[in-house]
Formats: sequence, structure tokens, C-alpha cells
Amino acid sequence: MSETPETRKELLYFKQFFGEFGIQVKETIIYGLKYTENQFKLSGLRSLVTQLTEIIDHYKNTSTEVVMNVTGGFKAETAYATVLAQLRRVRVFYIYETFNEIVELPYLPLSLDVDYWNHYEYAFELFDKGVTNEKKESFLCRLPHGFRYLIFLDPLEAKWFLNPAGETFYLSYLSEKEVYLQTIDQKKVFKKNRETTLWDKTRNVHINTLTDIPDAKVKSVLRRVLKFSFVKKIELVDYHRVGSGRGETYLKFKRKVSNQPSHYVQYQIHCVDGVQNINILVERGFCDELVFMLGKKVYP
Amino acid sequence: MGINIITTMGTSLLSNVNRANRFEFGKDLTQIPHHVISEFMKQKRKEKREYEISAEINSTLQIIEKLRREKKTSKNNSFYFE
Repeated sequence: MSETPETRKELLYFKQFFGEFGIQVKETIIYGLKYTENQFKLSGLRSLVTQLTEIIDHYKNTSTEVVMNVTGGFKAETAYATVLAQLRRVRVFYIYETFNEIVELPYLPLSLDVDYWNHYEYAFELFDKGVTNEKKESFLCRLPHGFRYLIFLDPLEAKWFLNPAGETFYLSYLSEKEVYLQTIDQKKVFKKNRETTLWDKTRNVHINTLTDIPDAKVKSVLRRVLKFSFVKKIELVDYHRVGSGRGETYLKFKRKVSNQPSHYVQYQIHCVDGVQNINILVERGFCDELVFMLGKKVYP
Repeated sequence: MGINIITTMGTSLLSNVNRANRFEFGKDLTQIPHHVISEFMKQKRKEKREYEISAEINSTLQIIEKLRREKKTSKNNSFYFE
């Protein structure tokens, strides 16, 4: 809730109302989110992004689903809450008086290229702490052009900081990085004993690790899959077809299985040698996330 | 499975009370007396028109209903309301 006397006054009534429905209410006051333009822009929105990120992260990897209701509040507040929720793949709901019915906002194709921004993490760290005017340009010339839209000059401290958009970007990046980047363990690609693979037949090569895969393009795609820290392993299954590939290399989504002890998504590798099915085993509950991040057709 | 609803808050409740009282409290919504707000809410609940109390209440109740229908988790839910 914003730091305004109106919302403070309303809080009491909301607590009482929802309490009677057995619903627990906990308030978080966003300091700086008030009717003072300067504070709203400088600290209010940044504070909002930080607080929302903390709440979302708190419930990450738990059995609790977090959703965002952006019906009330300042317009800028609801805009930032929506973007943040979309970046973190939290469902967003909204109601408009004339609809009088809840509307779920569809996901926008927004995601961060974690691998790309990983090279510029130092810049986010620096601007998060503040950069003097003199040093600013020397940093900016080494950064992607768009970075300059993520910072602002705080006249009180005479330093450049991440603006609310930059803060949204940075905190989302940190969370995504934690989920999506891991060191690749070659042994995570394997086949079961006594099963044959496409490359056993076409090239007489036995696959025990990722390095054994003789096709560079296939290897590249599988490396990308293994980067996600929620991917446990990639199992080459018995199903394959020799010679039915059309020269193009890609993974094609087949199905996802999340009602068994192991949760996995099945894709089919299409390559010059033919077709090979794989099961990508993921942490429980991450099948949808994998399909969301990879898409249903994946090229090297 | 629990559900946490993060809700951004506006001034809908106080605005609705003011509107129902023909704007007699003017622009300073914080001046609306406690008993007027309580009476407004009590009346809406009596008429089973809770959704008219405030946009936050309306949307939150609808979200809860929708998620309950989806997940069939009518018990053991906790809600986080900001």
C-alpha cells in the first residue's frame, strides 16, 4: 500500500472485512509512494519494485502460488507491478468497474536474456550503489545503448542510480540468473543401459555424456537446455528413426509428464542423421517453465 | 496449496463511501467518520453486494473464487494482501 493517509485509513476496514472471511491480511507500506512527485519518482517506485520482488522471491520454490492484483493504486504503481509480475511470470489480474468481472492479463512475450546480461552484471552493481557524474560516461560507452534508459541522476547525492525500470530489470535478472544459469555437467546427458540411440546406428558412437554426441548443432541445443538449473538430466530414450531428418536441426516438443514421480518434458531431436527422442527431467513442477523458456521448437 | 494475492491499494473504498453520501465529505476522504464507513460496509454486506464496497474487495473476492475453482483448494488457503 502507498504511504498515503487514505490507504492507511482503509487498511483497518480491509483487515476486518477479510478477517471475517478467514483471510489473512498483511500490509506492506511502500515508503515514498505518496503525493510528492519527486519522492514518488525517486524512491517510491524503486521501493515498490524492491518490496514486490522480496515478496515474490519469498514464496519462490514453495507450494504457495503468488498472484498479482493490480486493480487499485496509482497508475504508475500498477504499471510497474504489472511489468514486474510479467517478468517473473506471476499471474496478473485486473478489474475495471464497467467490466465488473476479473480479467487475467495475458502473458506478454517478455523475458530476460540472462546469458547476454550476465556480461554487464558489474554495471548494474555499480549503478545500484551510485556512480558519480564524471565516471558515468566512461561506463556507459562500454554498455549496451539501452542501459542509459535504466539510470537517473539523484540531485541530492549528485550520483547516478538505477531508476525504477533499472531496478526492475536488475532484480529480475538476479532472480532469473539464480534459476537459469548453472555450470554444465556433461554427465547429465546419458542413455539407459542396453538402449540404442540414433548415433549408435548411424555412426557407431555410444553416448554416455554430452561430449559423446557427434553432431555439433545437437550438442549446442542440449548445452542450452542444461544451463537451466531446474533441469536435472537429459535421457536419450530408445525411440529413434534413422535417416528421416531433413537436414535441419531442431528440438520439437512432444509432451510433458508431471503426474509421475519424475517430472519430465519429452522433445524430439531432428538432425541430419534422423530423429531421436529425449526426456528432459526437471525439478518437480518445472515442466511448464521449461516449455515456456525453450518454446515448442528450438533451434541451435 | 496456499495462495498469496498481492493487491495494490487505491482509495476506492473511501471514494465509494463519499459517492454514496453524495460527496458530502468533499475531497479530503480521510475526514469521513468511522461510523459512516462502517455503516456503508454493513449495509452492502446485508444486501449481499460486497462487490460494491471497493474495487480491491471486489477483485480480491473474484480472484479467490476463480483460483478456488481452478485448484479446488477451498481449505488451507492463506492470502497476502498489500
